[in-house]
Amino acid sequence: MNTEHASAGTDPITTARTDLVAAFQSIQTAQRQGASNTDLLPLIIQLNTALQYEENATALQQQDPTDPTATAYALQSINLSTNVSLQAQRLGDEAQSASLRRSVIAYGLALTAATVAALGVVGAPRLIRFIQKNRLRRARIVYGEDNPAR
Amino acid sequence: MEKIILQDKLVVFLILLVSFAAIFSSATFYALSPRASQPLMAMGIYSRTGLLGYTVPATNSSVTSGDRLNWTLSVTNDMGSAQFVMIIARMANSTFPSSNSSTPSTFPEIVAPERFVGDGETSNIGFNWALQSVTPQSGGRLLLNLDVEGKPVVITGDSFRWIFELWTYDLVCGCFHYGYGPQNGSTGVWLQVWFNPSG
Repeated sequence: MNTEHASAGTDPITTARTDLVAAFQSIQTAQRQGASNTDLLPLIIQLNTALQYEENATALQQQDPTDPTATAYALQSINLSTNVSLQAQRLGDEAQSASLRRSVIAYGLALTAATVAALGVVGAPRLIRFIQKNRLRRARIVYGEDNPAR
Repeated sequence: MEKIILQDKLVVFLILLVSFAAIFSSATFYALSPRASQPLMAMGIYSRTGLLGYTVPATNSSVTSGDRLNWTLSVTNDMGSAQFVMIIARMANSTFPSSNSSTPSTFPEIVAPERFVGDGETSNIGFNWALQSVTPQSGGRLLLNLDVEGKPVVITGDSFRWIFELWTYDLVCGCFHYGYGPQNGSTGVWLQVWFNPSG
């Protein structure tokens, strides 16, 4: 099995890495819940920016472990990842309720159509009789010599 | 008599209702279900200068010392969900075998850029390198000094090539694994670009 574990650094950088993965997981969950690719694309862009910050932080920390800019980059990455996670969760929840609503409406319509179709078949003979009777009632009755058929 | 007719009609109605409900529900289920698709990831590489040698020997792929090459790696994600990818770039010579569909290569890893790629998206990653010097050695071997994304790289040998492998992040193990798909049955994606260094 070929695997490669993400490297761990100082605390803020490790947290930044963990938050990046958490945000990615939130995006995948939102996608499973039905969020559209178009809605999620801005979040992917933001997550790539957060990844860039995390990479900058790691590079700076490797050069100088005491460099405060590394921590600043890591914190920026954490903020962005957290924001992406929250937005992804919101999108996922919205997509899930929209999907549930759509299903309820669609199956409700299907059941209504089935009822109407069944009623139509059962009531069809009666309806035909009613129409015929109505037609007869409306038809002019011609008596005796006036009848052109005679 | 009237009551019996009414009962019969009710039974017929119920049978029809169940049948129609089954038909319409099936149609609704089909309409609401997501379309089946083959999950796929692909990787490509291109260059504005056109200096890419995909064949052996690397014809028309001479790189002279001092040359700076700007390549672009593109990753396409059609997995049905966003992916966290890493492309491992390795510098290879004739000593070890290349990657294959199930096993990555063992050549030294030079750079490994990471990227989040949305579903249905293609992401472009720049790959810039320069050949700084070429020193001939015994037995027709060459010593190359390279600069890859600002990182110095030294390699000796012959039949030089770049190997690019696609790795994807697996949330279960919290690690990157070679190729895409489930870790125990992943599909390896890799490509290699040959070049002829000259002084």
